[in-house]
Amino acid sequence: MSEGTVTKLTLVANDGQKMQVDRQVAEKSVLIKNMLDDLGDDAMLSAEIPIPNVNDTVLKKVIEWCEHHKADPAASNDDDSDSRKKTTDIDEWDQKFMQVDQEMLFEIILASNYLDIKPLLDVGCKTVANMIKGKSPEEIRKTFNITNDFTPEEEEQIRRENEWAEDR
Amino acid sequence: MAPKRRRSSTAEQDVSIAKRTRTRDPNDHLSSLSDELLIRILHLLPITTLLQCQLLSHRLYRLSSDAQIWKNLYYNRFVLPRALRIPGIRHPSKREDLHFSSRKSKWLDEASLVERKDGGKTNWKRQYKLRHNWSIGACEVQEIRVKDGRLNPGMLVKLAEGVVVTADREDGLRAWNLKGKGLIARMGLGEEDVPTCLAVDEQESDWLGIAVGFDDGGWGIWKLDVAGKVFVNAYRHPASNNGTLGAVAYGFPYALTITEGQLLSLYSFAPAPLSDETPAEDEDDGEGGEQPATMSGEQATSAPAPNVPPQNDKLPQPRLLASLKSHTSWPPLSLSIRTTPNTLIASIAYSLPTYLSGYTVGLQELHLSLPTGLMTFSRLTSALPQGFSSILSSSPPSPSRSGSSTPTNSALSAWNGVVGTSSPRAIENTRPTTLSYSHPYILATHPDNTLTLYLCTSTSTNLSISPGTKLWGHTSEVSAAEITPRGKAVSVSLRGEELRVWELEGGRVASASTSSRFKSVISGKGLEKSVIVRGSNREFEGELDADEGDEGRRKKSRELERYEEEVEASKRWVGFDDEMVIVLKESGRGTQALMVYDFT
Repeated sequence: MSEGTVTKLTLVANDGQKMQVDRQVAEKSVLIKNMLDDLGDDAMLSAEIPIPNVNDTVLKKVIEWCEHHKADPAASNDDDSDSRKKTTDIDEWDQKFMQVDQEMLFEIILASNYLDIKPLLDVGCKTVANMIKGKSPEEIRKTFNITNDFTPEEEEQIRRENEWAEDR
Repeated sequence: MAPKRRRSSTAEQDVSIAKRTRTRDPNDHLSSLSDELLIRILHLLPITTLLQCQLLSHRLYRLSSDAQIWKNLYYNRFVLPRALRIPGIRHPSKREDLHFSSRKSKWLDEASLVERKDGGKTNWKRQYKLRHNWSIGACEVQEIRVKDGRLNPGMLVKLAEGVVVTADREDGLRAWNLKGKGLIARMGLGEEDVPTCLAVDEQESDWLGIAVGFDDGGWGIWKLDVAGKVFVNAYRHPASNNGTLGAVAYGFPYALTITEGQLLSLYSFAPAPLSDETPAEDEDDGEGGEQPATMSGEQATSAPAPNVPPQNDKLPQPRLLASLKSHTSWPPLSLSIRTTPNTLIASIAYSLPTYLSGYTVGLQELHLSLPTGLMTFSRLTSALPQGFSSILSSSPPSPSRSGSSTPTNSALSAWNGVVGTSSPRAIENTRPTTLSYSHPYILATHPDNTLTLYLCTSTSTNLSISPGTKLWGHTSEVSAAEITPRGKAVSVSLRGEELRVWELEGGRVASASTSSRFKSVISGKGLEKSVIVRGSNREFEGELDADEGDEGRRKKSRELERYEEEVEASKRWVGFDDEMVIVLKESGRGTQALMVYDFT
């Protein structure tokens, strides 16, 4: 990353909207960073970068997040390292940021997964996990409009299977 | 149902059963995520919620049973805390690589679950449940009647890999499968043979090696083919005039015996490979429980008698590697054999009277060089008498020191039963009733409701035993205990059906107690945890009679019976493996039963 010099990249959402983004911000996305590394700066800086899987609104939202977090240290690459411990710690700004409707929430998760922005993906997943936590199956189904495809017998069987964990 | 649910907490309160629709709701954004992303989310959930998610849909059921999730949970709950206790493994502040990661985590001795030799996949959810049940003492209790009527003294029992092996004079060798719940093999011993000690070698996967010592000084090796359900006599050592064998240890190709006169003998079957010889003549498969089989001849009883598999199970005459007479070791004692790449270490743990502070334990090790088969050296150590360094004995000796007078050899035997009356506040250790040695731990049980844990350090230059740590918890005399090299121990009290599970690794004490029948009461917190679990009773006698939900019917009579048993129970013995604990219970009316505590 070149120090001091602020270079701009142009991102194009799937609906054709163009956005000018600081290079440092765009590089929060490992996908974009790798593109820059692979293709060389000159080619990339002049060209427009298409983001075909993400629409304008969501891309704006994602860039907003990247702007805010641009100074954060790079996350570790150990993909399956344990982040369980910090489930509930979502920082305040991120919590506010994630106060969106479900459609947007899941779009952000998909976009951050596609763009490979792991910290944002984590925030998204944690937000969803927090929505699930402490709820009964019925409440969870209702929250997410999940269709129950179990027969009552199947449900009963799973309940029995999991009885052991009840009194902890 | 609202088409697009905003994240509002009030809306989540009202619980209504979601209507079933044929296909996925277009607003079900959660289910539109890929498996990978859903698992990422499920990873973040606590166990209770994770299990709730299993009830959502078939897909979420499958995903929330994902092995990686449960492996992670297992690691964090059962492996990581141990890893952090190991001094120097990593500075706590730099513990990134102790965080769960499938590539780098330290699994300690549980690596065998991660990289299984049999190539199979570990069911991590099941494994988690098993460990969870152990930690809270939750289990299912069953009873196998092994003997009704006349008391059959001196029944010996061992548990290995889900198989219980019993040896006694009347019924000979028997094996019970705890999974299939029944007698799987049986074989009469010689008419004159009174078994006095029993050891099981579980190094091989398809058979168990069984060593039995007899009162005439003879001993023998049997093989139990678990799948073929048959015992085969592999070797029989003739009677000797050295006296009754008091203990035996067997780890193929080595066998270690000690007589009651403290003559220790170490044998090796090593040099000659297994030869092709005729199968043992004493084959006695049987399924019925009660018929006594004191005869030594052929008694091939019918039904599940499999064709005797081609045997090349006879062992050659063993070589006597070492023999030595001990003058210091008093029963109870415990033998063990272990090997390092170059050395075979045969050890005896024994109880040792001291002059001022009651009993302690001693340990003698014989080191043999494996390449030469010669004994290199022998060394002795004993735990410091508690009066010297243990904080437990920092209070002045209490008046009730009746037990601490210098015992003479003859006084010892008379003493044995009496010590139980001494006050539990007496600091000095009463004479252990049993010892269980599993390097590096020695666990002694005492008549004063306590156990003592000793930690052995054995290096090439040094052998020592730490001062004992008293373990409290039992409310009546501790009858027997067993400990594993990992520091997990199970102990059982003489009365009251009290079973306790101890996690003693690193000297840290946590215990869970069990007394059959369900419902747990958790007392205490933090390190010392005590849980009373009442497992649901399933009873079967001899053969399978597993009737799952019949507690109600038999309850009345069982209560009474239980009460009588509690009053009368005379002796108990305990053994356990990864999934189960078994307790041999002898009641005054001559009933012998194996209580099976199943934690799966």
